[in-house]
Amino acid sequence: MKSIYKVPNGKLLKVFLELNENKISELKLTGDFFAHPEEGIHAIEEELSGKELGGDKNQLTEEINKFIKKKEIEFFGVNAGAITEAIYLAKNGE
Amino acid sequence: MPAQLPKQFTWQKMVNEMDWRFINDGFNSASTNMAIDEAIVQNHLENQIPTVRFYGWKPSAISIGYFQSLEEEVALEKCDEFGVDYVRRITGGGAVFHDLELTYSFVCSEKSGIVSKNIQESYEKIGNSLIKGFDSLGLKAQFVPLNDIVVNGKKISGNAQTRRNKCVLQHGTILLDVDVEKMFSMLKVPDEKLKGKIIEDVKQRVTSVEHEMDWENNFGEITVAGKIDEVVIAMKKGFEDNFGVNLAQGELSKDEKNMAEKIEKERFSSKEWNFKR
Repeated sequence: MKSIYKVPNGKLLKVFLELNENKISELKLTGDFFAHPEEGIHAIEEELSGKELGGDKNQLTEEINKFIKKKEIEFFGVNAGAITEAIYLAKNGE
Repeated sequence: MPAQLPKQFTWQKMVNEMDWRFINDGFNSASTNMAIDEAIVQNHLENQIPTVRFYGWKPSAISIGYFQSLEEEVALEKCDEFGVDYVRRITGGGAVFHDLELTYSFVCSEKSGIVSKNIQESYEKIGNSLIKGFDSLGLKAQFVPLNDIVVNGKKISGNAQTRRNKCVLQHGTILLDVDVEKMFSMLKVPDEKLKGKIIEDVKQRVTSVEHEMDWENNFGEITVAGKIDEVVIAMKKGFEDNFGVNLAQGELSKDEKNMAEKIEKERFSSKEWNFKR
Protein backbone atom coordinates (compact mmCIF):
# COMPACT_ATOMS: atom_id res chain seq x y z
CA MET A 1 0.00 0.00 0.00
CA LYS A 2 1.21 3.43 -0.86
CA SER A 3 0.18 7.04 -0.38
CA ILE A 4 1.35 10.49 -1.35
CA TYR A 5 0.46 13.27 1.04
CA LYS A 6 1.31 16.95 0.68
CA VAL A 7 1.96 18.31 4.14
CA PRO A 8 0.12 21.65 4.52
CA ASN A 9 2.83 24.37 4.41
CA GLY A 10 5.36 21.56 4.23
CA LYS A 11 6.89 18.94 2.02
CA LEU A 12 5.71 15.83 0.20
CA LEU A 13 5.40 12.64 2.20
CA LYS A 14 5.28 9.25 0.45
CA VAL A 15 4.40 6.27 2.59
CA PHE A 16 4.84 2.58 1.84
CA LEU A 17 2.84 0.41 4.18
CA GLU A 18 2.28 -3.31 4.73
CA LEU A 19 -0.32 -4.53 7.18
CA ASN A 20 -0.75 -7.89 8.84
CA GLU A 21 -4.15 -8.30 10.51
CA ASN A 22 -4.45 -4.53 10.70
CA LYS A 23 -1.04 -4.22 12.35
CA ILE A 24 1.87 -2.43 10.69
CA SER A 25 4.31 -5.05 9.44
CA GLU A 26 6.33 -2.74 7.23
CA LEU A 27 6.48 1.04 7.06
CA LYS A 28 8.69 3.28 4.98
CA LEU A 29 8.46 7.06 5.24
CA THR A 30 9.97 8.69 2.17
CA GLY A 31 9.80 12.15 0.67
CA ASP A 32 11.51 15.53 0.45
CA PHE A 33 11.07 16.48 4.11
CA PHE A 34 13.78 16.95 6.76
CA ALA A 35 14.32 15.35 10.15
CA HIS A 36 17.17 15.97 12.57
CA PRO A 37 18.83 13.66 13.25
CA GLU A 38 17.94 11.84 10.05
CA GLU A 39 18.25 8.46 11.76
CA GLY A 40 15.17 9.44 13.77
CA ILE A 41 12.97 8.49 10.85
CA HIS A 42 14.28 4.90 10.94
CA ALA A 43 13.58 4.88 14.66
CA ILE A 44 9.98 6.03 14.08
CA GLU A 45 9.47 3.34 11.44
CA GLU A 46 10.70 0.72 13.89
CA GLU A 47 8.67 2.13 16.76
CA LEU A 48 5.46 1.96 14.74
CA SER A 49 6.10 -1.58 13.55
CA GLY A 50 3.50 -3.88 15.06
CA LYS A 51 1.12 -1.02 15.93
CA GLU A 52 -2.52 -1.72 15.29
CA LEU A 53 -4.20 0.82 13.04
CA GLY A 54 -7.54 1.35 14.74
CA GLY A 55 -9.97 4.14 14.05
CA ASP A 56 -8.32 6.73 16.27
CA LYS A 57 -5.92 8.86 14.24
CA ASN A 58 -5.27 11.19 17.17
CA GLN A 59 -3.88 8.35 19.23
CA LEU A 60 -1.28 7.53 16.57
CA THR A 61 -0.34 11.22 16.24
CA GLU A 62 0.08 11.41 20.01
CA GLU A 63 2.26 8.33 20.07
CA ILE A 64 4.49 9.72 17.33
CA ASN A 65 4.71 13.07 19.11
CA LYS A 66 5.63 11.37 22.38
CA PHE A 67 8.31 9.33 20.63
CA ILE A 68 9.93 12.27 18.83
CA LYS A 69 9.99 14.24 22.05
CA LYS A 70 11.64 11.37 23.88
CA LYS A 71 14.21 10.83 21.13
CA GLU A 72 14.70 14.58 20.53
CA ILE A 73 13.86 14.31 16.85
CA GLU A 74 13.16 17.60 15.12
CA PHE A 75 10.95 17.64 12.03
CA PHE A 76 11.12 20.26 9.28
CA GLY A 77 8.49 20.28 6.55
CA VAL A 78 6.62 17.38 8.13
CA ASN A 79 4.91 16.63 11.44
CA ALA A 80 3.37 13.78 13.40
CA GLY A 81 -0.15 14.56 12.20
CA ALA A 82 0.99 14.44 8.59
CA ILE A 83 2.65 11.06 9.10
CA THR A 84 -0.60 9.76 10.59
CA GLU A 85 -2.62 11.15 7.68
CA ALA A 86 -0.29 9.57 5.14
CA ILE A 87 -0.36 6.19 6.91
CA TYR A 88 -4.17 6.13 7.00
CA LEU A 89 -4.32 7.34 3.42
CA ALA A 90 -2.19 4.35 2.41
CA LYS A 91 -4.27 2.01 4.57
CA ASN A 92 -7.56 3.17 3.15
CA GLY A 93 -6.20 3.32 -0.38
CA GLU A 94 -7.57 6.82 -0.72
CA MET B 1 44.70 30.96 19.45
CA PRO B 2 41.42 30.24 21.31
CA ALA B 3 43.12 28.83 24.41
CA GLN B 4 44.95 32.11 25.02
CA LEU B 5 41.90 34.33 24.77
CA PRO B 6 40.36 35.70 27.97
CA LYS B 7 37.47 33.64 29.27
CA GLN B 8 34.87 36.34 28.69
CA PHE B 9 35.35 36.19 24.90
CA THR B 10 32.28 34.71 23.31
CA TRP B 11 32.54 32.12 20.56
CA GLN B 12 30.89 34.60 18.23
CA LYS B 13 33.59 37.16 18.85
CA MET B 14 36.41 34.68 18.49
CA VAL B 15 35.10 33.48 15.19
CA ASN B 16 34.35 36.91 13.79
CA GLU B 17 37.88 38.06 14.49
CA MET B 18 39.29 35.38 12.24
CA ASP B 19 39.21 34.62 8.59
CA TRP B 20 36.92 31.81 7.64
CA ARG B 21 38.16 29.02 5.41
CA PHE B 22 37.13 29.23 1.79
CA ILE B 23 37.51 26.25 -0.52
CA ASN B 24 36.88 26.92 -4.19
CA ASP B 25 36.84 23.31 -5.22
CA GLY B 26 36.08 23.20 -8.94
CA PHE B 27 34.33 20.19 -10.42
CA ASN B 28 34.05 16.77 -8.79
CA SER B 29 31.94 13.66 -9.16
CA ALA B 30 28.71 13.40 -7.16
CA SER B 31 30.14 10.87 -4.69
CA THR B 32 33.30 12.97 -4.15
CA ASN B 33 31.30 16.14 -3.56
CA MET B 34 29.04 14.55 -1.00
CA ALA B 35 31.97 12.82 0.72
CA ILE B 36 33.91 16.09 1.03
CA ASP B 37 30.93 17.91 2.56
CA GLU B 38 30.48 15.11 5.07
CA ALA B 39 34.21 14.93 5.86
CA ILE B 40 34.25 18.67 6.60
CA VAL B 41 31.33 18.44 9.02
CA GLN B 42 32.57 15.25 10.70
CA ASN B 43 36.05 16.72 11.25
CA HIS B 44 34.82 20.10 12.41
CA LEU B 45 35.86 20.92 15.96
CA GLU B 46 33.80 22.98 18.35
CA ASN B 47 36.13 26.00 18.30
CA GLN B 48 37.13 25.76 14.65
CA ILE B 49 36.43 28.51 12.13
CA PRO B 50 33.60 27.86 9.68
CA THR B 51 34.16 26.62 6.14
CA VAL B 52 32.49 27.85 2.97
CA ARG B 53 33.04 25.60 -0.04
CA PHE B 54 32.01 26.20 -3.65
CA TYR B 55 31.92 23.37 -6.16
CA GLY B 56 30.50 22.03 -9.40
CA TRP B 57 29.53 18.59 -10.66
CA LYS B 58 31.31 16.62 -13.35
CA PRO B 59 29.69 14.58 -14.69
CA SER B 60 26.32 16.26 -14.11
CA ALA B 61 24.40 14.44 -11.42
CA ILE B 62 21.09 13.98 -9.69
CA SER B 63 21.19 14.05 -5.92
CA ILE B 64 18.22 12.85 -3.93
CA GLY B 65 17.29 13.75 -0.38
CA TYR B 66 18.15 11.44 2.51
CA PHE B 67 14.57 10.14 2.79
CA GLN B 68 13.74 9.75 -0.88
CA SER B 69 13.56 6.49 -2.75
CA LEU B 70 16.06 6.50 -5.61
CA GLU B 71 14.00 4.18 -7.78
CA GLU B 72 10.80 6.10 -7.08
CA GLU B 73 12.33 9.48 -7.96
CA VAL B 74 14.89 8.85 -10.68
CA ALA B 75 14.72 7.20 -14.12
CA LEU B 76 18.06 5.46 -13.73
CA GLU B 77 18.23 4.16 -17.31
CA LYS B 78 17.85 7.74 -18.58
CA CYS B 79 20.69 8.88 -16.32
CA ASP B 80 22.89 6.14 -17.78
CA GLU B 81 21.88 7.22 -21.28
CA PHE B 82 22.89 10.85 -20.58
CA GLY B 83 25.98 9.89 -18.55
CA VAL B 84 24.43 11.55 -15.49
CA ASP B 85 25.52 10.34 -12.07
CA TYR B 86 23.25 9.86 -9.05
CA VAL B 87 23.81 9.97 -5.32
CA ARG B 88 21.85 10.06 -2.05
CA ARG B 89 22.65 13.09 0.11
CA ILE B 90 23.05 13.09 3.90
CA THR B 91 20.62 16.02 3.93
CA GLY B 92 16.89 15.76 3.47
CA GLY B 93 14.99 17.62 0.77
CA GLY B 94 14.17 16.80 -2.81
CA ALA B 95 15.81 15.50 -5.95
CA VAL B 96 18.10 18.01 -7.68
CA PHE B 97 19.61 17.89 -11.16
CA HIS B 98 23.07 19.39 -10.70
CA ASP B 99 24.02 20.54 -14.16
CA LEU B 100 24.61 24.19 -14.92
CA GLU B 101 24.98 25.35 -11.36
CA LEU B 102 27.30 26.49 -8.64
CA THR B 103 26.88 24.61 -5.38
CA TYR B 104 27.94 25.88 -1.98
CA SER B 105 28.34 24.23 1.36
CA PHE B 106 28.65 25.91 4.74
CA VAL B 107 29.80 24.31 7.98
CA CYS B 108 29.96 25.82 11.47
CA SER B 109 29.67 24.45 14.97
CA GLU B 110 26.29 24.83 16.68
CA LYS B 111 28.00 26.22 19.77
CA SER B 112 29.54 29.10 17.79
CA GLY B 113 26.13 30.79 17.73
CA ILE B 114 26.84 31.93 14.17
CA VAL B 115 23.50 30.53 13.12
CA SER B 116 20.41 29.93 15.21
CA LYS B 117 19.57 26.57 16.75
CA ASN B 118 16.16 27.13 15.14
CA ILE B 119 16.21 25.38 11.77
CA GLN B 120 14.00 27.90 9.94
CA GLU B 121 16.01 30.87 11.21
CA SER B 122 19.30 29.23 10.28
CA TYR B 123 18.16 28.61 6.69
CA GLU B 124 17.27 32.25 6.43
CA LYS B 125 20.52 33.45 8.01
CA ILE B 126 22.73 31.40 5.68
CA GLY B 127 20.43 32.14 2.74
CA ASN B 128 20.99 35.86 3.28
CA SER B 129 24.57 35.28 2.05
CA LEU B 130 23.19 34.20 -1.32
CA ILE B 131 20.70 37.07 -1.37
CA LYS B 132 23.61 39.49 -0.88
CA GLY B 133 25.51 37.61 -3.58
CA PHE B 134 22.63 37.94 -6.03
CA ASP B 135 22.42 41.60 -5.08
CA SER B 136 26.07 42.06 -6.20
CA LEU B 137 25.01 40.67 -9.55
CA GLY B 138 22.17 43.18 -9.69
CA LEU B 139 19.46 40.62 -8.92
CA LYS B 140 16.88 41.20 -6.22
CA ALA B 141 16.45 37.91 -4.40
CA GLN B 142 14.24 36.90 -1.50
CA PHE B 143 14.15 34.02 0.96
CA VAL B 144 10.94 32.00 0.78
CA PRO B 145 10.25 29.48 3.56
CA LEU B 146 10.91 26.74 4.00
CA ASN B 147 14.25 26.68 2.21
CA ASP B 148 14.17 28.43 -1.16
CA ILE B 149 15.53 31.63 -2.61
CA VAL B 150 13.63 33.30 -5.42
CA VAL B 151 14.29 36.03 -7.97
CA ASN B 152 11.24 37.68 -9.51
CA GLY B 153 9.12 35.14 -7.65
CA LYS B 154 10.88 32.17 -9.26
CA LYS B 155 13.14 29.69 -7.50
CA ILE B 156 16.84 30.20 -8.20
CA SER B 157 18.31 28.35 -5.21
CA GLY B 158 17.29 25.34 -3.12
CA ASN B 159 18.97 24.57 0.18
CA ALA B 160 19.29 21.59 2.49
CA GLN B 161 20.62 21.22 5.99
CA THR B 162 21.75 18.56 8.40
CA ARG B 163 23.07 18.76 11.91
CA ARG B 164 25.71 16.26 13.00
CA ASN B 165 28.82 16.22 15.13
CA LYS B 166 27.28 19.24 16.94
CA CYS B 167 27.66 21.18 13.69
CA VAL B 168 25.46 22.67 11.00
CA LEU B 169 26.04 21.63 7.40
CA GLN B 170 24.02 23.45 4.81
CA HIS B 171 24.51 23.01 1.11
CA GLY B 172 22.54 24.43 -1.76
CA THR B 173 22.30 25.19 -5.41
CA ILE B 174 22.76 28.44 -7.29
CA LEU B 175 21.19 27.81 -10.67
CA LEU B 176 23.33 29.26 -13.45
CA ASP B 177 21.14 27.90 -16.21
CA VAL B 178 18.45 25.26 -16.28
CA ASP B 179 17.24 22.67 -18.78
CA VAL B 180 13.85 21.66 -17.38
CA GLU B 181 13.08 19.22 -20.22
CA LYS B 182 16.34 17.31 -19.68
CA MET B 183 15.84 17.39 -15.92
CA PHE B 184 12.39 15.82 -16.18
CA SER B 185 13.51 13.19 -18.63
CA MET B 186 15.45 11.80 -15.66
CA LEU B 187 13.06 12.58 -12.82
CA LYS B 188 9.96 10.50 -12.27
CA VAL B 189 6.65 12.13 -11.40
CA PRO B 190 3.76 10.49 -9.51
CA ASP B 191 1.54 10.50 -12.59
CA GLU B 192 3.31 10.22 -15.96
CA LYS B 193 0.18 11.47 -17.73
CA LEU B 194 0.62 14.82 -16.00
CA LYS B 195 4.32 15.12 -16.82
CA GLY B 196 3.81 17.68 -19.61
CA LYS B 197 1.80 19.90 -17.31
CA ILE B 198 4.34 19.52 -14.50
CA ILE B 199 7.20 20.49 -16.83
CA GLU B 200 5.31 23.62 -17.94
CA ASP B 201 4.56 24.41 -14.31
CA VAL B 202 8.20 24.06 -13.26
CA LYS B 203 9.31 26.25 -16.18
CA GLN B 204 7.06 28.96 -14.75
CA ARG B 205 8.36 28.54 -11.22
CA VAL B 206 12.13 28.11 -11.74
CA THR B 207 14.67 30.57 -13.06
CA SER B 208 18.45 30.89 -13.33
CA VAL B 209 21.20 33.50 -13.24
CA GLU B 210 21.49 33.22 -17.02
CA HIS B 211 17.79 33.90 -17.46
CA GLU B 212 17.67 36.85 -15.07
CA MET B 213 20.99 38.57 -15.82
CA ASP B 214 21.63 41.21 -18.41
CA TRP B 215 25.28 40.16 -18.78
CA GLU B 216 26.06 42.35 -21.75
CA ASN B 217 24.99 45.54 -20.06
CA ASN B 218 26.79 44.69 -16.82
CA PHE B 219 29.93 42.98 -18.01
CA GLY B 220 30.20 43.53 -21.77
CA GLU B 221 31.33 40.50 -23.74
CA ILE B 222 31.75 37.63 -21.34
CA THR B 223 32.53 33.92 -21.76
CA VAL B 224 30.71 31.13 -19.92
CA ALA B 225 33.76 30.63 -17.68
CA GLY B 226 33.81 34.38 -17.04
CA LYS B 227 30.16 34.27 -15.99
CA ILE B 228 30.83 31.45 -13.52
CA ASP B 229 33.75 33.42 -12.08
CA GLU B 230 31.54 36.47 -11.61
CA VAL B 231 28.96 34.39 -9.75
CA VAL B 232 31.67 32.86 -7.54
CA ILE B 233 33.07 36.33 -6.73
CA ALA B 234 29.58 37.68 -5.99
CA MET B 235 28.61 34.75 -3.75
CA LYS B 236 31.91 34.82 -1.87
CA LYS B 237 31.33 38.51 -1.19
CA GLY B 238 27.76 37.67 -0.18
CA PHE B 239 29.00 35.31 2.56
CA GLU B 240 31.64 37.84 3.67
CA ASP B 241 29.16 40.73 3.91
CA ASN B 242 26.46 38.65 5.54
CA PHE B 243 28.68 37.30 8.32
CA GLY B 244 31.11 40.23 8.52
CA VAL B 245 34.14 38.04 7.89
CA ASN B 246 36.84 37.51 5.32
CA LEU B 247 36.88 34.25 3.39
CA ALA B 248 40.50 33.17 3.08
CA GLN B 249 41.48 30.62 0.47
CA GLY B 250 42.21 27.32 2.18
CA GLU B 251 42.24 23.64 1.46
CA LEU B 252 41.11 20.38 2.98
CA SER B 253 43.25 19.03 5.80
CA LYS B 254 44.92 15.65 5.48
CA ASP B 255 42.37 14.16 7.89
CA GLU B 256 39.49 15.57 5.86
CA LYS B 257 40.94 14.21 2.63
CA ASN B 258 41.48 10.77 4.14
CA MET B 259 37.98 10.67 5.59
CA ALA B 260 36.46 11.91 2.33
CA GLU B 261 38.17 9.11 0.41
CA LYS B 262 36.96 6.55 2.92
CA ILE B 263 33.34 7.66 3.04
CA GLU B 264 33.17 8.15 -0.70
CA LYS B 265 34.12 4.51 -1.14
CA GLU B 266 32.12 3.07 1.72
CA ARG B 267 29.01 5.26 1.52
CA PHE B 268 28.40 7.48 -1.49
CA SER B 269 29.69 5.03 -4.13
CA SER B 270 27.85 2.11 -2.60
CA LYS B 271 24.58 0.65 -3.84
CA GLU B 272 23.65 -0.08 -0.27
CA TRP B 273 23.58 3.65 0.55
CA ASN B 274 22.18 5.01 -2.70
CA PHE B 275 19.37 2.44 -2.91
CA LYS B 276 18.70 2.24 0.80
CA ARG B 277 15.18 3.66 0.56
